[in-house]
Amino acid sequence: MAFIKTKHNHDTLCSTFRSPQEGLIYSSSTNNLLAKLSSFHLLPEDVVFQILLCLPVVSLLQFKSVCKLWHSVIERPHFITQHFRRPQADNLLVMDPTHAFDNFIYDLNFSLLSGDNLEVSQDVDLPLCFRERSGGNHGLARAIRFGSMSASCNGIVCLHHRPGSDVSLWNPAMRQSRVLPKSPVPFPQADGLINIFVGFVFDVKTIEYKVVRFYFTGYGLKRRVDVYNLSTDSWKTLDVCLPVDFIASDPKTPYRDGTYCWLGRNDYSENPSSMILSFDITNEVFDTIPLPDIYSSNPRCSIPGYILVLAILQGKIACIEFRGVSLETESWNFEIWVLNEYGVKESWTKLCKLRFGNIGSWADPIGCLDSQIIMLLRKKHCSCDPLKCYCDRSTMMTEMCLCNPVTQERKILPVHITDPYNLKVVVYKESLVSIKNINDAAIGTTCAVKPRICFQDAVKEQGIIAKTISATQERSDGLKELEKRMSDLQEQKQVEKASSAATRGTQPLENAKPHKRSQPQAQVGFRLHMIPLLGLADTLLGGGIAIKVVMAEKLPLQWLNRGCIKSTDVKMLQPMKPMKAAHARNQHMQGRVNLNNPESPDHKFWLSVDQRRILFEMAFLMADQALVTPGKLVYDPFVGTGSILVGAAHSGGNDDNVLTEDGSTDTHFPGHPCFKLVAACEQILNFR
Amino acid sequence: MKDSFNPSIEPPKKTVTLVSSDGYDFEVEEEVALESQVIKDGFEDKAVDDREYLLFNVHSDTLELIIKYCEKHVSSRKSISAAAASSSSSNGEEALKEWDEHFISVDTNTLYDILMAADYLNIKSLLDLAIQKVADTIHGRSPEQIRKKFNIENDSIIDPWASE
Repeated sequence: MAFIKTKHNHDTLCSTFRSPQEGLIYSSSTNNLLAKLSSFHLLPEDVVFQILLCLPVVSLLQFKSVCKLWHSVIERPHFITQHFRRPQADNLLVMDPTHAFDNFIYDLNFSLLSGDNLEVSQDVDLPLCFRERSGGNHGLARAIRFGSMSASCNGIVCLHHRPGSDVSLWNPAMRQSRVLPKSPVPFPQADGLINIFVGFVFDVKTIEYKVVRFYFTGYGLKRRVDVYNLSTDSWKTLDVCLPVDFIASDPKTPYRDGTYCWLGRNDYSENPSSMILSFDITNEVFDTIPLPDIYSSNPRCSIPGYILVLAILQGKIACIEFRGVSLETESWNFEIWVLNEYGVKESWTKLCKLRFGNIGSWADPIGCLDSQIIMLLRKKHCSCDPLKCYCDRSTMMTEMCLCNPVTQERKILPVHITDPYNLKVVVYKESLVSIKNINDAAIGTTCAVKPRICFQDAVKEQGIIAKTISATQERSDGLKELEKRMSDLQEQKQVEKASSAATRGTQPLENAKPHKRSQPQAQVGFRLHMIPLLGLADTLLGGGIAIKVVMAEKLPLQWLNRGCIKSTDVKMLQPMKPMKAAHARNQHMQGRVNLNNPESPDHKFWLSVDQRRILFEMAFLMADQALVTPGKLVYDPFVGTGSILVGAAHSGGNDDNVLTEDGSTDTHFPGHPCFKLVAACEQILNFR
Repeated sequence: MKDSFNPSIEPPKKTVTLVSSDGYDFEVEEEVALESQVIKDGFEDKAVDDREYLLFNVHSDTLELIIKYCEKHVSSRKSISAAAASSSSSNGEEALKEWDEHFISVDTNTLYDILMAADYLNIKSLLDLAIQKVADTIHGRSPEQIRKKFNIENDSIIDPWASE
């Protein structure tokens, strides 16, 4: 094997141009130049994409700040999908409550088993929703809430808080967690034990994540199912008649995209039996699949301690049944049945028998990892004859094992277990799916931005509390409604002003000045606070989420929920008078403003240092969330302090951004234009 | 290496000429050149005596490396399939992996050149190898280190989510 390298006289080579059809594609640029610029930011985007796909989530979160290209690649929904689907081994996430109960503070240990053979064990930070608030004596590592892991899907773990019915979602790799809101319909009061079960599914068809919650009580009389939809952030009670009154086993992972299965029992009916309860998330319909004949009406199934576990074994529904301890083989025997074809009872086949443990020990199947079964094995320390031993069982040692049912091979996992009764294990793969805006990053085909809640009692006495708008369709209705309300309010205020002026005689100058103008202009003054939030929804042409905070007397709750601002910061915000701001703008914001300097005098006129800091922080966040990039058009009608523009300018990275009041932009954007800022309100209204 | 090629001793094989950006001719065997998807796609349309490809984006140093890589892969593929046919056990694949590992252990600039050339010529296995190498290189480093190492301009704003 060899090749010949010869120097040819190719003087005419570089000037020769051949069409791509004829041979190869090439650029006519000088090669020396290319050789010199061996810098990685010139890599084509698809190569960057491929490189980043090879990296774990923790690196990607860091690398968002390398450069803008990397940031935008990592944020892309398609990337998030591909990244989750890249070949990665299944991991196990183990929750082990160390001390179950101590003065209402719990120690929950989460550990992640990873690696090809699950040989690496590492601690995972407690989700924020479980953590004790700051100020406690126990530091951040201890939980204030107890709970269990209910399900895991697309890298998100669903946590069920106990006691109570609260549900949280948690992405351990992203370190994001969120407590879901409470259901508006309270649970019925009833006698007997309350049983709540939770499942979590991704609906591929509608690209939504949904939480299913069962509520059984009153000795099987009261049954209720709630479904939480993440895209609407709301609960809904389903009007169904459940065929079961208890969930006996939960595989803790969806059977497939859009379908979740549980093992249900109806203990309180005349003929107690077990069956598989399946839930189709798209249509929100329940169905049942019968178990193999030998189980379905097995009288043993109502005996406490009877073990029949439902699991997903290699993508199929599987039943693991405890068949007793055999004295000949001195082991626990399990029988494994697999449903080969979903919904077809005849396709149940017995896969194999599993022998595990020994007589002196205690074995529990707790789930499946691909083709292996996760078992808990509890052993005694003592060395007595197992058949005659009555030593204390509480000193048993617990091990977690992976068992191959076909070859009977077993492997002990490196995890320390203190409380085998409350231990929870889910199969987990890390993903970049964000819980904060889960819709945009759904693991699915494409993502659609859904309309969100619009103006809900947005008008308050002094101003408006901004609401999140991300759809265009509701905007015009909202605008009309708002205008109407504003004019009502305006009239009311005029009346009040007149009466108070009459009683007091004089008016402070700054308040009086805008009102001295004619009626329509006063209305514009109010629109000032209405349009920005409407405007921004339009504005952020990047198709990102649109949020605009209007500094009214109360800070919008959305920002608090999003975790952008700590509650301590909020206190520093003083109420700001909208009219005053408008007035100040008229006086100070003429001509050019240097957007790159937040400390420039143009921005200083009516905010305290702290207020300004928060405003600008927020502006950066908003510009960032709106995916402002060079070349995008940003509208900020009624530029107040111009903070949004400062933020946007920083996102765009242009050095010489200036804004003008009249919207004439051309001359002020030398080089590549980052933004065109249209500031005049009339223009915006006409535009719309 | 170039001296070993002697057409008078070996039976003449079909060859393709690849011309690098700095004007060197590389005469390689057809099947070696066909490792590149780009060459393969346009191969049938070209006349037999006109199989010359101008690779304006690939420098001769890089092209030499890439031809080395393709030759190694073609030859080891042959030996692996021969071993499989005679059902004799061989560790050819492992040896190839080792060779790849050694091949890709180059400095950043060379790695960049190989990456660009593999992307340009569309050689899937080499591209994957180079991409994996880059990923391994940057794994566990700080953004600042990466910018420095890869000469990337810092144009990003402060990302409050990243530090969370």
